[in-house]
Amino acid sequence: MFVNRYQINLSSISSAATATTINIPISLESQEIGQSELIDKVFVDVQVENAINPISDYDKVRYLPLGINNKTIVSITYSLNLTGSTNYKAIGFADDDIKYEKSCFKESFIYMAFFDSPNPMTQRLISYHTIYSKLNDNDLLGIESQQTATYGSVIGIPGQPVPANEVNLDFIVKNPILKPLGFSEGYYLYDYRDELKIGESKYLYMRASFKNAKTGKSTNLMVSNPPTPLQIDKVVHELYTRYILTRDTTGYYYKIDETYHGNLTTSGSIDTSPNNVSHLGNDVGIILYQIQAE
Amino acid sequence: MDIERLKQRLNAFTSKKDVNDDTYLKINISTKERLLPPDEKNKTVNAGERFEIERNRSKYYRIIGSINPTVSNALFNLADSAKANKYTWSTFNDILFLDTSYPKDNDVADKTDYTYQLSLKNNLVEMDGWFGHFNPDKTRSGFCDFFDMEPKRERFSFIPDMAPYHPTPAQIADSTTQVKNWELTITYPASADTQHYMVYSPTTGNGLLIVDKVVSNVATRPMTGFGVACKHNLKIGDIVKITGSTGFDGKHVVIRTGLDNGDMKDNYFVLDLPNTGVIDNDTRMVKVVNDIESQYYFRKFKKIKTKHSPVIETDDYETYGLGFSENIYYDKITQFVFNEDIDVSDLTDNLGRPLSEIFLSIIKTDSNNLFTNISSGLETPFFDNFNNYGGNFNYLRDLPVINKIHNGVQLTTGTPLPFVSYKPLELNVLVSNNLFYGDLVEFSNNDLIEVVLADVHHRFNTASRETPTTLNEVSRLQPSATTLITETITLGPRQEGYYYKAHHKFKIRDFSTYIETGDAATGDMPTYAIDLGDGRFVWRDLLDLGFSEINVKPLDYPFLNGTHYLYDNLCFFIKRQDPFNMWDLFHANFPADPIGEKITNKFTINSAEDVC
Repeated sequence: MFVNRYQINLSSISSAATATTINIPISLESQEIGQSELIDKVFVDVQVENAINPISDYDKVRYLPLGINNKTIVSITYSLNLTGSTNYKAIGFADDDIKYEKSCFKESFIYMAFFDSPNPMTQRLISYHTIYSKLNDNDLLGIESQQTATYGSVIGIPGQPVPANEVNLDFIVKNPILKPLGFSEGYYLYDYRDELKIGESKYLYMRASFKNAKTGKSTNLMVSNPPTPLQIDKVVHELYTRYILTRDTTGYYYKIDETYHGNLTTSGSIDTSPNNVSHLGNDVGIILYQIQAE
Repeated sequence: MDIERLKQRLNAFTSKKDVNDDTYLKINISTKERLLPPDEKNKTVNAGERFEIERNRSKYYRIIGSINPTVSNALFNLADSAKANKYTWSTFNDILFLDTSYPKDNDVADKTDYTYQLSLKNNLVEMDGWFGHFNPDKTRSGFCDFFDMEPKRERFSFIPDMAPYHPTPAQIADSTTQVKNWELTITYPASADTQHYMVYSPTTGNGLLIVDKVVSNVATRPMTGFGVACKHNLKIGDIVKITGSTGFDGKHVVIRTGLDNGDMKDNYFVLDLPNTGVIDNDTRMVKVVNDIESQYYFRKFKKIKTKHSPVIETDDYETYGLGFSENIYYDKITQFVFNEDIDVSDLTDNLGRPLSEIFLSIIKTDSNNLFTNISSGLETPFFDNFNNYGGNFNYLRDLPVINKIHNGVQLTTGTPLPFVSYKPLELNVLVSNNLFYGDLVEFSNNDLIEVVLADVHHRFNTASRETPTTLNEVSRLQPSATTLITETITLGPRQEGYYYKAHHKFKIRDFSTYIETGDAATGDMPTYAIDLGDGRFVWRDLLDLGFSEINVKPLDYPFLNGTHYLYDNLCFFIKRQDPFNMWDLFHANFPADPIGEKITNKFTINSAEDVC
């Protein structure tokens, strides 16, 4: 509001013949007070953007296994040692179970669960693999002369499976391109594409169990074979095989940690001695043992 | 507004002795502004609108697809001294193939034994398009095994080769050896070559080179048909300007397309001119609409960028066999996946427009030095003039005709060249290059659309085939394998190779079917608007994804995870340069390359176009 200032002299009033009047104009000038447009355009739109969830990338990518010198791994063998038993005969399978590839053989498998942490209180299951029993090339009988040299006589038709006590509890996954006739489920790992930025890495912790279709029993596995059963509170450190997922400018890869011991320390430093993972050329072997605890 | 409440007590109420006097009050009028609280705001978010916003905002693309190859190894190696000539033309001259006795007596004296010629006839087998042989020793348990000639099918596979051709000691020692036969990359049209001889010369300017003229009879009236080595994109009634000729220059109306028998409608057009003029090495045609002449040029494709790198790399994709999938020729179908997100933001095409199409570019590798370098050219129809090697037609050698390109050089001895090679667009195409010739297009300011007239193809051969090779052929039966009497024949060089279409389009955006017009004062005019020079600017809007124009199917492909998913099944043909002995590249001397069997036109009837 703008107000005019008037100055009135008393003399002019006293000498006036009539009452003196003054016009006092009252005027209003409009000013912007409505901000609805601003609110709609800035506030609401911004808040809508903020309120909507960001786009999550649910696309998964394939992580390729790398071995020594970052060379592609050709095969990964998971070998089981169930309190000293390392072949099918020793865990209750008969020769015919193997020879005829009965369901109890074919439906026995190892189950591998991958967690984001070794801490059972906070860990989350990321993915899992199952690898079923399968006859491998070295589980088949050779030609007659080889059988005679090995067994003293011919025990079967070349190409038939060897006796159950010679079929190791080995679960082998192979590179599907390099070994197209092999079994490749479980060779690759899969994880979300945006989990890792270039140069980053993360860990997955794998815990395995063996499901025996012959006995119907499930045997939990761990990564060491202590001479005496472990105390129960120490078992938790021996359960997991660690997988290191990495991403670089060339792609997505994983390695299997050869020195992970549950980050247990020996004499004040982290134990980096070899564990149950071993490399032989471009092949990797992982030994898994039946849990022994007291 | 604040209002002060005033109460004035009259004097008479205070005392009976008092009288009421005049009383004066000062009244102040003032206002204060206060922001009123806004109303409650409610906003309903429309999921469909939100999807469209996010979809059109995203500039990222993930590309997957499958490649369905149709391949043959009809052009196989001549010899291979490092591998005892295995899987080559020369292998059939080996005693293993010549001696058919059972059991083998190691001579070629028996009536049942073969000469080289018979050995070829009886041992060289084609199965599903693949040439090879069975085990010549029938006493072996695996005599039904079929062995491909080299190049084997593994050399054409999009899956890396695990047992590569002539592996190095390091490759043999490494069980993880994988040799790529192909490289895939994503490209986009980034620039143009407007100066290539096929579309330009300093004297006549821009225009398609005319390579042939023929007499054409339209309703008994003799006229002249003109042929170009790519599509002419003309139809009856169009105006075409001829330049650089003797007797044909000027603007004419297209009377008909194609030859009298209806063939080659895309390549010949007929003008109502007497066939008395002459065309030469600089006679060109230009399509004219509304006095606006079309421009012809080669588009050059550039490797695209990804979310994480300025240029896409060769490890940004994977290929693997598609499960249980093969075509009718039992060739395996391959899946490809680009693991890196393609980023088209800030990229413009050769006309300065936002990208509307990107390409999957496929580049052959040498497969461990098995194949030659890659040349590029255009797939054109056959013109008789291409096989006319007189001086009047030497200028045609500057055309990049893919069927006439080879690596041969004139020999002082041995087999002479079939002809001097035509000039390729590129001599050595490698995936490490950044620019590739992509296609030949026509563009006119009249319709603002690039019309593809020809696609660029890549040509390659095996190094062995291009190497002069002789063979001491066993031409008759004789008693001892150690003292065989032979005749020397020339196996090569053989300049016929393979070629394939190199770039496959993925359309990512559509331009509007309407042409917008404005002037310098027009708001929101895109930067790629074309100045017509008379104050007008013209352009086509880039349509939002999912936006539907009348009678035009909108472009629509999956959008999720914040990126666009492009998918395509590509039929990929690897062709021979001269399967029917038309282009003078076919090796017809004994032992001749397998000749193709033409599909007859039992079910195709060509007819001349109705000019009325």
